[in-house]
Amino acid sequence: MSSSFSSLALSSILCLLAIQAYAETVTPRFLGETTQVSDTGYYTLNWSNPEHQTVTIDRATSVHFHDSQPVFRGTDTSAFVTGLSDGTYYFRLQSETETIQPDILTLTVAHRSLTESLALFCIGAIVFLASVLVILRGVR
Amino acid sequence: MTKEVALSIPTAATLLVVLSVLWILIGFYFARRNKNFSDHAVAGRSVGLALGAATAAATWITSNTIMLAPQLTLQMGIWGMLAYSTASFGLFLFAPMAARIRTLMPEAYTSGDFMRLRYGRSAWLLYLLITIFYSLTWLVSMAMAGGILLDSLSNIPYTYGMSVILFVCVVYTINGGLSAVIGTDFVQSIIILMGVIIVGYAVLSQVGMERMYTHAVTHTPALLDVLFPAALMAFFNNLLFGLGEVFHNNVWWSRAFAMRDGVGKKAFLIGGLIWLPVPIAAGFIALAAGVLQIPIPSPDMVGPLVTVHVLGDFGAILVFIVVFCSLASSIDSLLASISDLITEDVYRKLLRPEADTHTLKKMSQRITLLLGVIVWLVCLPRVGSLMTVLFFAGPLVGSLIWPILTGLYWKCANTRGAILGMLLGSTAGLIAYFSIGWYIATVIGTAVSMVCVLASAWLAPASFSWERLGTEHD
Repeated sequence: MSSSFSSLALSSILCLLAIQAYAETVTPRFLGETTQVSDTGYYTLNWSNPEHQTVTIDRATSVHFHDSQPVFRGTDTSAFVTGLSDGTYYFRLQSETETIQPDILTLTVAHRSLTESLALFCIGAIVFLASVLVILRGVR
Repeated sequence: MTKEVALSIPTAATLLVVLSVLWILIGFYFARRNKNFSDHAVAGRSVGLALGAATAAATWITSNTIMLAPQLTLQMGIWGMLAYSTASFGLFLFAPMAARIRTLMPEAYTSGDFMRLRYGRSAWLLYLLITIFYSLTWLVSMAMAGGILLDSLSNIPYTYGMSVILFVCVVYTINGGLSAVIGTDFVQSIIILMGVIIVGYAVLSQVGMERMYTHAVTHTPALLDVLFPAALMAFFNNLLFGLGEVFHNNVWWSRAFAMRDGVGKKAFLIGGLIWLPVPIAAGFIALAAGVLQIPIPSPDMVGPLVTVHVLGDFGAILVFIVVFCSLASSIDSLLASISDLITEDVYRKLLRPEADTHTLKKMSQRITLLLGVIVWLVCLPRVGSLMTVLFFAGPLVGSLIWPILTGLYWKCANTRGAILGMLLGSTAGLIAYFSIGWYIATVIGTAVSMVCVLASAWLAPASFSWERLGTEHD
């Protein structure tokens, strides 16, 4: 009696594990590392979606998603986000048909230093103005 | 399974056939007087102001302008949009250069002729290596973009779309050479400008500037930031990329040789003025994507997606036509330019100096055909976009700006400076590309090249005689 009960329990556990494993393979998940950085303020989110489920992605600056904003809703597998200022952003990927735990991606935006950018901007300006000068003097 | 697309296959196929026949007919019409190599390579040196200005603008309006201007706006905001439009400075500054080129080298055919006569064989060969690599990359990326775009707009398979666009351009370029290229450019530029205006007007009427601004302030504030670091760096990077491309590439030099005396300067200035607002008009629509809640899977698709969303089926047809025109206007120019460069600089100068003008014309036609076949074979396996490789070429073309500028205006510019400028400028730019990013590589490459050229001219000034540039004749 106890032996058949143990077998039944084991089978049930195995079955649950198999269902969970299957759910995890078909549930949309972000591709690559779940922690990313950007020095430009834009980023392309990519995720798996083998069964073309309708997914939603929300963005927030708090890990608890108190201030979440919708970013994407549909069956595609990528979305481009842009115009982000310095800070940490959390993206929550959820399937509308699966009730499994949503996937979270953390994106840290740290733009390059303004001093470095302005220095390179000035180098570009000098090279350009020097080129214009060569032409203007040549035309005279 | 077929994906959801904006155009049905019958509609897209009809458009493809109509546009293909139209370009071939227009190309053949403008090629009526194409008799010898001079007619074929430099349109008999008789192109007037209207065609000259139109071809300058149309060649610069590639599919990149239509696709990349909105992409840069989406990525880098207002700075990105302005940065793209600064490419028109390439045309503005080339205007006086075109007049000088025509005066110093009235009977030359290619930019390679200039590098060989001005700096000698080593600098010339290095130049050929860089420019042919760059031009071929551009050509392959255009043909691939054609196949990919037609595939994404309709369900026309990539191979068919890519093959048709390439085939059409090869046919009329072989038959008519530069005359056919310039003639089709004229019509294509009018269609492209009309398309850009219609889309811009539709977006403004449906969305409006105020809503776009409010949405950007709330959701994508960095796009409006005047001190957006990457965008600040990208500004002059884009400008110098444009300068390098126009100053060095035979696409532009062949047009300078093709225009009648006194026309080149005005034509390039007008071409630049026509082109200047195009990236702004094509680019600002990207800011409407957020307001309209259009999901953008990849930034290069933002332009077509907004257009189709705003204008529906008509928008899809418009995108198809405009993209076809912009691709054709670049592919035909590159085919003609590369084949002339190989015919003049490799075949005539290295292999058959005694070849007559009819033999050269035939050779140029064969090379165009061969180029078409090679590009087709390279494009067959759809390996994705080559845009990354094109940005990778930025430092290479940037490193050519100063050798060409000073070679054209300064007697003291010397060969060593030109070679060092090309080699060290390209190397430094590529290092910057990998260590910082694409948005600064051309600035670094150009700056290093400039220092090499200036230092060399200061330490060992040459005394070049301008008459030597005019020593070769038809």
